[in-house]
Amino acid sequence: MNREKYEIKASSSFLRYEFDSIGKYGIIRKGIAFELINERENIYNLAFGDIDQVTKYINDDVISNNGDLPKVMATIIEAIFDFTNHFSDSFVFFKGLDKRRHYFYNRIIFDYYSIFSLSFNIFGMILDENEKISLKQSEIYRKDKEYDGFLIRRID
Amino acid sequence: MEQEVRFTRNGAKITVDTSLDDRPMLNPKKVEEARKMFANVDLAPLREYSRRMAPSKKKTA
Repeated sequence: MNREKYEIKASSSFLRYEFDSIGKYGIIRKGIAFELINERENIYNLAFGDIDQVTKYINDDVISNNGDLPKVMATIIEAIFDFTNHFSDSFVFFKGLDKRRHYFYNRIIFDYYSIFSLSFNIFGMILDENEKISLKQSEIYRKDKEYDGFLIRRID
Repeated sequence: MEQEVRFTRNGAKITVDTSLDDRPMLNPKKVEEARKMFANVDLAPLREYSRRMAPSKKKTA
């Protein structure tokens, strides 16, 4: 994967990552965090967004539109590879909270499918009316479909 | 505090920075929402699929 990517800082636990997006609106600190959300099934939630300068939380409601989307996407992919180097048996789940994020994650998977599918099983996840994962409706990822979220697992 | 530097197989530079350790980066409310999404989910079928896929991928590599 020879696409340009940003330098990344990682916590020693490999659960937290940061990098600086440099674009038309200047330097924007980005965060990627993996949080264990289901211990029995070993599922980690991936959150990505701008780091709020006050709270230091990841703000995943904001699309900064800094003009460097391909580089940002390539950097997120690298963080996922690094995390799963250390947590290879885990599932990683990510979903967009709104339409723009929904599109963002669908586009990452679509664009990187050829690389990603060599190293990960990718499952397209559908939520039911109660906002819970519906395994009946979820399936192995298909490029011609959009999903509510994605669950991936390292296989290489 | 920055420590070890490593490069991924794709050439990305990753520096371990212990100042990131234990820093809460996620809104607890959103983490709770994600937990609820997967409450009582049994991923055994997906795990089984992964297990079956892994050897075949290695053979073709």
